Order: sequence, then structure tokens, then C-alpha cells
Amino acid sequence: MRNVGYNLRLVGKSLRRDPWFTVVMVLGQALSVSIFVTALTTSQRYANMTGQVRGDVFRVERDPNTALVRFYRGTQFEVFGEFSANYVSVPTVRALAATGLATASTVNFVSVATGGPVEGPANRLAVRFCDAGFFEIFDVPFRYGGPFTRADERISPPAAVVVLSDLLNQKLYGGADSTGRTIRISGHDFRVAGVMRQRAGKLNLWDFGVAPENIANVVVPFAFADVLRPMPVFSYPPVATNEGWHAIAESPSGVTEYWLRLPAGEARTQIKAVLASIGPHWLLRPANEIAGRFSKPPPPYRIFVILTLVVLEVSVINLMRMLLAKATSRAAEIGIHRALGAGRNVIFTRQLLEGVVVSMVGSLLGLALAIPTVTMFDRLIPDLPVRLAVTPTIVATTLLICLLAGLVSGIYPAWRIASVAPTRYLGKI
Amino acid sequence: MNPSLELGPILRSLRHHKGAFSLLVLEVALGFVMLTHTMIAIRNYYRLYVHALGLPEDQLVVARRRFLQPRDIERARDAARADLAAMNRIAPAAAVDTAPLPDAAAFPAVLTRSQGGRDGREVLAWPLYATPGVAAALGIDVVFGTGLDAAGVADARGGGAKPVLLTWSVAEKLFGTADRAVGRDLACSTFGTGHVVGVARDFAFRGGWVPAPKAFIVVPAQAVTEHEIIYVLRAPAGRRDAVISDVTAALAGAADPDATIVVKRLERETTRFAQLSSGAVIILIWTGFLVVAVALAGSLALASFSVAERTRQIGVRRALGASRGEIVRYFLLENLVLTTFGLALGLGLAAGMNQLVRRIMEDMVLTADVALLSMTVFLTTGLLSALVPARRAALIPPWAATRTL
Amino acid sequence: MLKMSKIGKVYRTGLVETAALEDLTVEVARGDFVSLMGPSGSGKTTFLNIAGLLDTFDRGRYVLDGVDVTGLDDDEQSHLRNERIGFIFQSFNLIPDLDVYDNVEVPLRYRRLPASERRDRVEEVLVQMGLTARMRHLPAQLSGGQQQRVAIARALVGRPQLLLADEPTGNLDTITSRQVLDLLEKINAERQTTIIMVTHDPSLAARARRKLHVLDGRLIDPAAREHAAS
Repeated sequence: MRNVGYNLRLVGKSLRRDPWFTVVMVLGQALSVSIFVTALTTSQRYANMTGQVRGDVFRVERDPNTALVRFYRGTQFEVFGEFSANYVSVPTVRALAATGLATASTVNFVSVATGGPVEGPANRLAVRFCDAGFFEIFDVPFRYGGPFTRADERISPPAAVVVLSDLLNQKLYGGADSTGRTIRISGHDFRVAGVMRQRAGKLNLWDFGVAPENIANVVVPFAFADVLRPMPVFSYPPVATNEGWHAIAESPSGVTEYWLRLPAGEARTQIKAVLASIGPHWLLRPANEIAGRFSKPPPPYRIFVILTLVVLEVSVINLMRMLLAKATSRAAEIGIHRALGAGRNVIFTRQLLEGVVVSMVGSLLGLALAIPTVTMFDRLIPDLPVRLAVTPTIVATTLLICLLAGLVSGIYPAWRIASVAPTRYLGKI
Repeated sequence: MNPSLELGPILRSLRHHKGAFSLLVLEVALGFVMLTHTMIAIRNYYRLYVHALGLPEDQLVVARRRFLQPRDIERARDAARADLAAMNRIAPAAAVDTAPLPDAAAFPAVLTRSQGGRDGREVLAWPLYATPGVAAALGIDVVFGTGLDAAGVADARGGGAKPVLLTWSVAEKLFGTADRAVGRDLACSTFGTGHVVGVARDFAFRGGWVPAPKAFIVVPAQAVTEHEIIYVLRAPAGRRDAVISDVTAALAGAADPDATIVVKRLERETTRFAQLSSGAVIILIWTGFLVVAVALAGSLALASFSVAERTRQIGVRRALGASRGEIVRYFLLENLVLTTFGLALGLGLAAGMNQLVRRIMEDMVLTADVALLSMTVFLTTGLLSALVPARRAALIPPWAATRTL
Repeated sequence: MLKMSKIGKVYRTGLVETAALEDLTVEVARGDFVSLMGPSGSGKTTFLNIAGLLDTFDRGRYVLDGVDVTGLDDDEQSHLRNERIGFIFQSFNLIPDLDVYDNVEVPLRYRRLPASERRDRVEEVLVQMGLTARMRHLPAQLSGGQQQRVAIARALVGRPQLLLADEPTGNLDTITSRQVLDLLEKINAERQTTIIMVTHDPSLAARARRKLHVLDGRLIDPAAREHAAS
């Protein structure tokens, strides 16, 4: 340990002696790390959603249709079959809201309308319908302004205020502070009260299952549904779309999610009783369980991570081979070091250090290369407009993995070269 | 076999260099595993990209009348009727609830046979709501029975069983054979009872990306919403652009300041899934290229090292009478033997990993053609990585055995 | 067997030219046992390399066993070397990855002999050298004397007509050295194999029938001088 500086210098000299060899080692490691990090970012997008909501938040769900679950299993859209369980009908929502048991509650569904800033032309606009409780339940962070409130909803007519998602604000207003501006939705004008802040590289829990083209949406109070007459994007069992909103609002088909905040104890039992009275399949699912269940990335991304993991293994073995070859070709020189008094441990440590140094330099370079790779990935796979981000967690994970990789690829050559007798290679053919 | 190809000695010498050689074998094996699965994924995404719809894609036109404010259903229906009348003068047209190749996802309908009570066999199919002229407008081939617009087929409104059109695969799954389906009744989760009037050749309206892409049930309905009406038309071959301009004029003709009209050709390339598929193919090609490049560069560097290490030895062989060609062949053979071992191990590992991978995504099937292609890639890169240093080795003169270089 | 006339070889390293051999003329008859002595740097190894077709020369003419080597390309030289010449090196030069059997077999592989004949010849020469017990051992597992015996076996397996030995006992102890010399004498006597042996040890050189010296790239044949003098 005392001689770490000296050993590092020796390692540096050794690496500089065959510059191209060292370049190949480092570059090989870097390229593998870059693609692995890219795969990690795609899977991180879905992971670690727990903590987005408090422990007293629930969603009303029903048992999913098993035929549907089986239909989607093993395909790219595996979780879709289970999504059918997430939707309740508007009459059910009314019944549950009427109990007054929840401290906060909200519907949550997306529809497609036409509109945009009043100053501009009307275009396709994704609209999310929620109650004011939405912002409290999901603890939504804001970039500008604030949410619409229960007070806004209770006055008659309800206050025509909306909230923009971060992505929509970027699309329509270039990311500037748009509070106070007017936005026209399906021919009706609304004032922008606030702009939400998107968590970097992470999907929001309420955005789960929303199609990419609808993630940039405007959040409108559900009180305006009768005016705007939305066409919910999802419904199960599917509603007849040609009946109009009023029919949909009476239909027993599930068209919206329903989230509630329930204090522990009586309230929860009572809500469960109400659900039981509606039908045998209804249940109350804790939000953290939802976050945990869907924190597995979709199948294509899981496969991508596996593939890049194998690439990383290949590069580790490649590194091991190259270190071994280099060490054996330097065997005579090592023999001299041993003859001059270097013990086995010193030789072992020096060789191990060489492997670790190459691996860490390669991983740093790989992290740097990952940034353009991730950008390219985002551009090529327009799967979600939430940008992939190389988060500090990913950086730390990668560095740790590469440290391990360096140790693994260094250990075998180090062991081989340290266990050879000093005289063996002196004067060898 | 040519005696100068020293297969036996090479194999025996491998036993004494187990460490270095087993690493090479392992690297080739893992690289092979990775490359085969990457190729499988590329093949799957490519297939999705070029998936045949079973519809005359290059003749289809999609038109939308989008309302700037929500419009009463009755008025929307009136607009639809007028539009369809105008459009049918130009080309067969129908209103549909979703445009072909939609980006948005949806849930399928659950179908069961009406009679034969106990047999609750559930078949999932994608519902397509459309006005009766849909078969002609989409270019659907009705094989048994009739389309939805034949004389005697009742209009969609009103109670009772709806006349429906099934695709072949759905008809088969529900009723055993496709022809037996005509005239039978079924129960559908989305609308109740249906009466099968016809069976059509399979088509994939929603593209190849959804499960059971060819399972469809076509239901007659006034496919309008309070926000827009979607139409699809089939232009005669080669006349699509003309039809687009005619339809634009026809739809704009009906004075409707509260609506926008968009008429476009059906374009697969702009759909989200086409972009996803092509993007995925590119990323996977890059990943596969990386693993081959890393292995190739490493092998090249190592082979050069190995030649330098064995300079004296090569000199001795030359002294003993080896020609330059024989030196080259020796190195190539050595590399070939190791690569072959690696590929054999890789084949076993790939089969194993494939089982795991298929549990995640069913269609990642390891087939012989992919394995062979991957083997070829590794054999070629192996040969290349050995060729360059081998030729350098051949230049080592015979006097390297005696004169110290 | 071997006829060199006015052979000259120059080494060029950068700007420096060294004449390794100057005007070297020598004739070695079939069955001769020749020793070559000289101080280091005198050109003995160069002479041996040229004699063994391991290296090229700049001036002069070299006829080996009736064949003028000047016109031969690399492949033809390799072939000729393989057929007619056997080498014994000071540092044995056995291929470390191959066992004894495979080492001895190498020249026969290049001669494209079929497997059965290769096997017969290798086993025959291993028996002659007393190496059968160690047939599958690696060079690293053998003593110096054993390794040199393997090298000799390898040199003999092709039944060469010319044997070139460069300090064959340089790395061996005295007893083993004598054994090797005995072996060489035996080979020379029984098979009429021409042997040219480079050595710095006068006692070993004395055992050859003809003694040559090399000095500054020129050959000195004391016997010929004596002959000329008398």
C-alpha cells in the first residue's frame, strides 16, 4: 500500500510501452461500457418508481381478464393485458366520490382533442382529465406556477384553468414560462395556471401506459368533461366510440383510473365495502405496489440489457486475454524484478493494478461515449419523449461494475505471472 | 489430409496452454451467443417492419374530418353520410373507427360461440367498426359469405344480432373451419351478439406489432365520434395522388368552417412502430458490430503479440524446411481450431440462453440460419485476425533460429 | 557435397556496413567430419547460416549436393533444406508447445510424408536416441542432455545428407558433451553423413577429421596450408 504511487507509475510505464496495445484494451472496454450504460438508462426509466407517492394512496382496480393477460404475455407489450384492470366506469367513480371517505381523489384518463395556444393554429392535442386532488396525490413538482385547486372546481361554472405537462410546455411554448397564457381546447379557452416539472429520465407513475404521443398533455379539470366531451383513449370493455361522451359517462365500461388517498382504518374498510357492493372483482391496490409491479422494464429492454451484459463479459475476457499475453511476454523482465527482491505479492498487485487501471480508464471513456450513444438511441427509438438520462446512480453503478470487471480480468493474469519461479523465463526461447 | 496441416500437434499443444486458449474459446463462445441473439432480434424487428398487411397498402388513402369543437353525434353522422356519398363517387370509401396502422394501442374484443354453451372457448380478436362499404374501401377479400354491404344485410342500428365479418384465423379458431362460420352466431364482449355473414382473407389492419395481428372482427357502425371522422378509400392502381386531390376538393366542398380536412396516402414509414422497428434494427446492428469489432481488435493485437513471442520458433520451423505458405497455414489452422471449439461451446451456451430469453419474449427463436450466419461471421473475423500477423510471421527469415533478432 | 567459391556477405545496419564473410572458398566432400573454430564475430555462424540455406549471400557461388542455390526461390530453398540438411543448435531450439514426438516429427510434416511413414521414422529415431520413454514429455520436462538428444533426433529423422551443428555442446556438461560427440562420430561413420560442427572448444574440435578456422570472415584451412607448404 505504501508503494501505490510507485506501482501506479510502473503500471503507467508498462502501458505506455505498447501504446497501441493499450489503446485497443481501453477502447474495447470503453465501447462495451458505452452500450451497456445505454441499456441501463433504458431500463432505469422504469425502475425505482417507489417513492413517487405516499403510502396512503390507492388505485381502484379489478381482477384482470386472464385471457387478455395471456394474450399479451411474452410479447413486446406484456403488461398491457394487466392494464385492462386499471379502468373504472364513470358511474363507479361517482359512487365512490359520493362516500366522501377519501381525503383526496382523482380520475385520470387521456383523450385526444384539437387545440393549442390561441395565438396559433389548432393541432392535435392530448388532454388529461383529472381532479384537483391529482396534484396532491402524486406530489407533483412544478416548474412554473401551480395547480388548479378544489376551490377552482367548486365554483360554478368551474374556473377555466389548466396545467401543462413539462413536455407539452416545451412543445408549445419552447419551455418558457407560459403561466397566464390562454390555450384553446376543442374550441374552449383556458388559462394556464402552471407547468409541471418532469423528473429527469424517469416516467411518472400517472403516465404509465400512456402512448408516447400523448405524454405531452394538458391537464384539465374533470369538471369540464361534459363541455369538452372527451373520447377516452382506453376503455375496457371497449366502449362504442360513436355514442358520444354522455353515453360513455353512463356506460359500465371502465374508462378512467381512479386514485384516492385514504387515511388508515375505517375509511379503507368502508371503501372496500362499497367496492364489494359494486361487484365481486373490485379491489383497492396500494400505489407503492403498483410502482413496484411495473418497475420491470418492458421485454425488449430487458433483452437489450442482457445482450449488452454479454458484450461486457466478452470485453472482460478480451481484456483478460490481452493482459495475460502482455504479462507473459514480459515474463523475463518480471523475473529480473523478482531476482532483485520483489516478492510474489508485489508482482501480483502490480499486475492486478494494471488490469484495474485499464478497466477504469475504459469505463470513464465509456461513460463519455455513452452520452452520444444515448442521444442516438433516443432519436432512433421514439418510444417515449421522456429523455433518457445518464443519472448519477447509473454512473456509480457502472464504475462499480467496471471496478469489478477490472479485478476479474486482472486476477487471472496476476495469479499466473506471480506464481512463476523467477528463473523460469530468464533466457527462454 | 495434407500432412503439413498439423492438426494433431496443434490439438496436443493446446493442452499445455490451457489458460490462454480457453480464454479465447470462451470469448468466441460468448461473442457467438451475443451475436446470434442480436441477429434474432434484428430479424424479428425487420419482419415487423416489412410485415405484409394483407391490404393493398399502395392504394389506400386516409382522410380525416376533425372538428374544432365537439359536435353532436347526430350532426357528425349527417356530415359522415354526406362525405361518404361524395367520396364514393370517386373511389370506394368507408368510415372507420381507427385509421389503418394506428399508433395508439387498444384492447381486443373477447369472442365466444353463442351455442355450444359449455365450450366457453374465448378467442381474442381486434374489432374494427366501419360503415358497410369497408370491404371495398380497404380491399378486403371476402372468401365465404358476403361483405357487410350486401343486399339483405340489416343496418347496424337497432337491437338483435349484428352482422359481422370475421377474418379466416378467427373463424377457424371459433368454429373449427372457416366455411362453417358463415351463418353462425357469436357473443362479443364489446357489443353483444353477432351473426357471421362473411369470412375474409386474413389482414393485419393494426400492423404486425400487436399479438394475433390477423384476427379481426369487422362490425358495421356509423363510425363517427364527437371529435372527428376517419375515412379510408381505395384508389385504383396508380391513381392515388389524383384520388387524393379529388377527395380533398370533395370534402372541402361541404362548407364546414368548424372542421379541418386532412387527406393523406397511407404511409407505413411514419407510424410509430415502423420507426421503432427501423430504429431498433439500427441500434442492434451497432451493438452486434461492437462485439465483433472488440473481439476482432483484441484478437489482432493478441495474434501480433503471439507472433512476436514465437519469432525464434518460427525461425526454427523455417530452418526445418517450412515454406512461407506453410507458416501462414499453421497460424490460420491454429486459429481455426480454437474458433471451432469456441463456436461449439457457443452453440451450447446459445441454446441455453435462448431458453431464458424466450421466457421474456416468445418470438426470439434461435434458428439454424441465424446460427450459421453468426458462425460465418466469427470464422471470417477469426481468419482475418490471424491472417495479418500470420503473413508477418511468414516473413520471419530462417536465420531467426540462430541469429538473435 | 558442399562447394562454396568466393562467398561474400555484408551486414548493413543503418549507415554501418560490416563484412561478415570475405572471399570465402571451401569444399567439403561427402562423408567429411569438419570442425570450424574461430573467435566470436569471426563469421562462423554466418557461414553456417549460408551453408544451411538459412541466409543469403551477396557475392560468390554455392553449390550444394550438385545444386547451384543461386537461382532458387524461397520455396525451393525451404524444400532443399528440408530434404538434405539437418540442424543442431546450441540452445536446442525445440518448440516448447510440442512434446518430444511432435517436435521430432516436424520436418517430416513439411516433407508431406504420409502418416504411417512418419510414425515409423519418428519411432525408429526415438528408439535410436533412447527417448521412447519420454515420447510425450514437453521440452520443459527434460534435462539439457535429453533436449539436445531430441534436437539430434529431429535433425536425423529426415535422413539428411548434411548435418550442421552450431556449438552443439555449448549448454551441456562435460560428460553429456562427450556423449553427444560420440553420437556425431557414430552417425558420420555409419551413414556417411557429412557433418560441419562449429565449436570454440579445441578438445571437441580435435575429434573432427578436418579442422577449419575462420578469422575476420575468411576461411583458414591449416591442413591445406601445411599441404601447400610441404
